[in-house]
Amino acid sequence: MPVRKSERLLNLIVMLLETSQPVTAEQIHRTIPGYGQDSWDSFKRMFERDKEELREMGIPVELSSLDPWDTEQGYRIPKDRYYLPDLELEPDELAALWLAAGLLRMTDPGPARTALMKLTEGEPPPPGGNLSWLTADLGLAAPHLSVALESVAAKKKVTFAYRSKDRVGTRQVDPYGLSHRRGKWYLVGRDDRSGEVRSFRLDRVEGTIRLTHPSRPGPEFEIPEDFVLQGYVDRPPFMQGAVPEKAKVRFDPSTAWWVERSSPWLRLDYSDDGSAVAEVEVTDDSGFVSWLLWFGEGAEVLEPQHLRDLTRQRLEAIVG
Amino acid sequence: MAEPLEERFRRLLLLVPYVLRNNGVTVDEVCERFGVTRGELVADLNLLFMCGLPGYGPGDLIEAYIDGDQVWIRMADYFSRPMRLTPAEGLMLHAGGQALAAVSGPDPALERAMEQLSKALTPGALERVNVGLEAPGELSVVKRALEDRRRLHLVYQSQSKDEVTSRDVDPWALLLSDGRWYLVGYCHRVNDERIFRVDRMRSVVPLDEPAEVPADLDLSQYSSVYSEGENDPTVTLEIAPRANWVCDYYPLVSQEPLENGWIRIRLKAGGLAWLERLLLRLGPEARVVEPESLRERVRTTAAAIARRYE
Repeated sequence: MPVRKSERLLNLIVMLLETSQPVTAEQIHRTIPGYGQDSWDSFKRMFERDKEELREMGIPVELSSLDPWDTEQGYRIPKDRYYLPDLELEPDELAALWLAAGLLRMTDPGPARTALMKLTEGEPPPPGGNLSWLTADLGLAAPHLSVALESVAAKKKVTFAYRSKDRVGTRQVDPYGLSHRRGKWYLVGRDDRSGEVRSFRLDRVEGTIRLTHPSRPGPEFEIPEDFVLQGYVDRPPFMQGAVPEKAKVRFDPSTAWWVERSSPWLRLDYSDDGSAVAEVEVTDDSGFVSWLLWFGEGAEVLEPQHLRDLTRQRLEAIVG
Repeated sequence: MAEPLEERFRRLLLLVPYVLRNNGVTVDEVCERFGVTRGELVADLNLLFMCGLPGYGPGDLIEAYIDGDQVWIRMADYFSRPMRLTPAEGLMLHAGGQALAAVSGPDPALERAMEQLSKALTPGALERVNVGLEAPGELSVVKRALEDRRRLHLVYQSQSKDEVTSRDVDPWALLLSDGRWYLVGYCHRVNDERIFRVDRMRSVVPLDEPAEVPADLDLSQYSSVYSEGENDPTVTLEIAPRANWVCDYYPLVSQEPLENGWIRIRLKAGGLAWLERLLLRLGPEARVVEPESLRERVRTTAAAIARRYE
């Protein structure tokens, strides 16, 4: 019954927050109404689910030893991680946060509203600053975003089923970062299977993202020092991984301005007539040709010859 | 329909600290602030009444009640401070802040607020988040025109038709959608409402004329910027399994599975230029079912480009 569950969760929070030392599972089982009448096994199952739900709400339940010999372990909610620290936000900082949340008012109202509620202690927004003509959709309703962010922050390994092309496979990933591009959110991390850094679109994850070792405390991997989050999602896949080959591409004047804007990772050398030449790093020939043809008549690969040949073959296949 | 348990519980965890710091607040005020009815508030308070410290005797349980038209909660000091932000909440404000910065340019108050925000979250959580928003230079000109309600002159290269046009536009609103900025406004060239991608503006200049903006503009009607016209032709394509990402990226009228993982999709297209480039890009991974004219057009263009490689 739902009411019983809210009650149980609330009592669990109070007990774990106010205890002077960690409390054991037995104590919780004995003490909190709603757990008591069930068998030990069903208590364990309920308790695991409750802990998981609290975690999803951002409430940290910590497991620690009750004695130096580690014979008994207990749970608690550390106060310093439960309460909002006093941020002492200035009025102009609060106004900026209201605007930031206001931008998302139409697409993701829930969390933006509750965040402000916590930060402003329920005070109404300051007068004046209202950008009624501005609205943003940042795809924040994407699935799995919360757990992905949490795994990134805590450096915890994750496991999930992922749909790529037309196949679904299980992936184990060390999550290095979270990246947004074109309304989609990507988890960027080291893929256990290939040993390489890959990006995974969250809306292609099937089922849920699970922590691989949910009860193991502490970080589980180190992020290489030379890792830069920016590049992994912004650069097209045909430029990622392995040692690249350099291709030279010419863009005509009606396209060059657009390439400069939309592909900031390219350096364009302009000629007087407004056309431009750029060097492009290529690790996947076929992916490169697809990218090139996206510019239609506005782009031509000048060298190497084998990429010119491949481009011609692709075009001839279309002509038939 | 009953309210989901989770939502109710989350609300409770916000409502209790609020009432604790504002004891004696009116029922109406609480109901309005948290979007609940009086009945729901009473149910929440009754639930609190059953909770408290272990022992659960009279001195342990939370006291929560309505007296006349005032709300009171006592014996719950441990809930008097608000909770930390959840990852989702933090990410929301962070991302909104980035979008704001893209439009407004550097703002010290916003930067300080974002710094403070990261303190309210798991340490390090936001350092490894890249919102990656574009802020084309034209954005600041558009923004100023919206604030000052001034008409704009655009040189615009449309993606769908691949043509360059000049037009005067009364700016109405700025939208961020799918990672791109769009200007909604009234175009005096076609005498109708239009949506323009800010990054496709080759130049934008504010004019002296004031812009006319409808007083009752409802931004929610632009939730999808792809507003295909009723008269736009319908295109039918067959897509290979390797190219099924197309279905995620473009608004489809319909899709049906074929043999071997291929999919038949139908979509509305205002201009054929972008479709032509999409089909060049997909090559053997797509077939045009209709219109015949599109198939011919792609073939002609492919032949023209191929000649350069002979």
